[in-house]
Amino acid sequence: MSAPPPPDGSPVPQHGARLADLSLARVEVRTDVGHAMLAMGQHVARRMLGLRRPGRAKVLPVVFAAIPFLPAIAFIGVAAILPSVLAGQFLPSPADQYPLISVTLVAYTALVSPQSLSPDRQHGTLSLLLASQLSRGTYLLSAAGALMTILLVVTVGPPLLVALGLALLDVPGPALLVVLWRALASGLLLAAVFGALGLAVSSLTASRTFAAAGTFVLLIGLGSASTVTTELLGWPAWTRLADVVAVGLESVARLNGSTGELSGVNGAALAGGLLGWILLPALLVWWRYRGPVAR
Amino acid sequence: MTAAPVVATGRVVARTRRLTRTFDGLDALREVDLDIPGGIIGLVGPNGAGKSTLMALLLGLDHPTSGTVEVLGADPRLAGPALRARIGYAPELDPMPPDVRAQDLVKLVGRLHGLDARTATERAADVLQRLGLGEERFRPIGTLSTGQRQRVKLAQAIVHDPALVLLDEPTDGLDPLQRSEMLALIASLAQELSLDVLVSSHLLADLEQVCSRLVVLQDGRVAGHVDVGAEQVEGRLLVETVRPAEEVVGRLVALGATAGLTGPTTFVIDGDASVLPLLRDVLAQTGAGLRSMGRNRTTLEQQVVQELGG
Repeated sequence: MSAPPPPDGSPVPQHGARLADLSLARVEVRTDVGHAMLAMGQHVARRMLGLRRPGRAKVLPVVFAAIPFLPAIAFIGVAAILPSVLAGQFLPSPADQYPLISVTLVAYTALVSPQSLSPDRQHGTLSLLLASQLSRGTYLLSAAGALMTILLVVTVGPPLLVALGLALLDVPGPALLVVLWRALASGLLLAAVFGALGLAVSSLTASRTFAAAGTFVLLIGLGSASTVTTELLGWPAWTRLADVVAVGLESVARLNGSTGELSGVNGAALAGGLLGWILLPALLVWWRYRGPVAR
Repeated sequence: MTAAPVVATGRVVARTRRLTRTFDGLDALREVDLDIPGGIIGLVGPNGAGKSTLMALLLGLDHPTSGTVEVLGADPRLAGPALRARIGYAPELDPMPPDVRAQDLVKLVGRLHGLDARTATERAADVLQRLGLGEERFRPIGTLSTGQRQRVKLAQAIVHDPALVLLDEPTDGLDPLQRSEMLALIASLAQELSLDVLVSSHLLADLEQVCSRLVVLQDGRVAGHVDVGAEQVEGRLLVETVRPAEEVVGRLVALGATAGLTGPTTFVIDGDASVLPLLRDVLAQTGAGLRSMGRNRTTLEQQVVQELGG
């Protein structure tokens, strides 16, 4: 029921009416490069994982991330059923998961990592982003941080899950702290190697197809070639350092107190190879982004 | 119109001295001396004149081969993030990811410029709403029309409330109506937010609508500058008559006016409002009839072309 009109004849107030004020208020910005890097990193991480994008963009990252987690969960399930002594003897250790993790890392390098840098060049967004508080260096660090964070979930997550699960079930094995340290160090190492490689791939091409094809050719081709040259042609063992997957797996194997395919390569050579596989791709990325930003 | 160097008498938002940028031995900019005053300033010149290079140098996205740049009182190379936080930039073409929602992109740019997450979200919504993108702001940019994408590009340039905005070809790809709307938006935002705007375009008519001054670039050099306001006051009148205008022009010239036929029913006459009574009388005497009358819009274009050596 409407209110009676005021006796002085002034307009009746209309409830629910509002002024449409579209004018913009002033806002304050703060100079904080760290804040800008965090925002950029979150953006890159969302893009790689397909978040806030159509469903099909999420399929590959989720499927490949799940690959190493599913066996880890299965191991814990089996450990819960088996007597702890048997579980300790027959179940794989946390370190045994790295070959499976490397499958995800290769898939991520080929199919997910290209989303870290290349879309910004492909769509010309780079100039728009670098007109902000970010510089080329901080932009690249943000993307590297985002990629490393995602890879760390894959490289540290499953071994950590198994280690904690087995510890909770009292399955005999090395001390928990030792296992946790090894899982963290191994995960960081693998994430650094494949993160650098992924960024390098992403810096070279804006096409996911080319990136995927190139990565598979590089990883599988170099791996196969180095195997053939050492095992069939008798080349020295250190030539296997050309196989980045083998270098990564050998490094984490040694961190976990064992050896792998590259047992013939001495520790210094392996460390050099590992450093090379991190630094060379990083230098390639830097070289690709050294020039002026055209777009 | 004056020859280089272009020196403003009032407030200067950007200044270059002997600015040169060379790419692979070719000079994109050659010893450019320029004082860019406040207000809305146009940067005009043919493709390859150096407009985008100049903007990149002003932003610090690129570095000079020689010479100096100063923007808002600071050197872009040294001031870096602190300076860029005060500048908005909309690059040419379509530099936006098609799979990202308009709101998300504008929010991201706001955060990259130093807004906290909540303020950036609110501000992105406000700015997009202000630019006429209501529900459309939740759609991926790739699904928006060209006009809407240009508005998103403008929104991300002003989301952080900058002091200076650099707009590179903001009307690119728009039809005439959309161009007018975009230019009106730029003009109203500049006034509302007290923005200084440097806008580049190869469409002189666009710049003429919003700019107070044009800087003419050619072959990497400043060919001159045009004060648009003064041009409109001093410009010629373009008159269209109903019947042939030959007799009208003859009488005007006989009476001492400077006039000339440009077509069977069109002619130009030099002078400001003081010639209007004479014109009215002659039109009445000859019975030629007046169809339309306005400033000779080609005058500015002719002067710019003249500066470009055409």
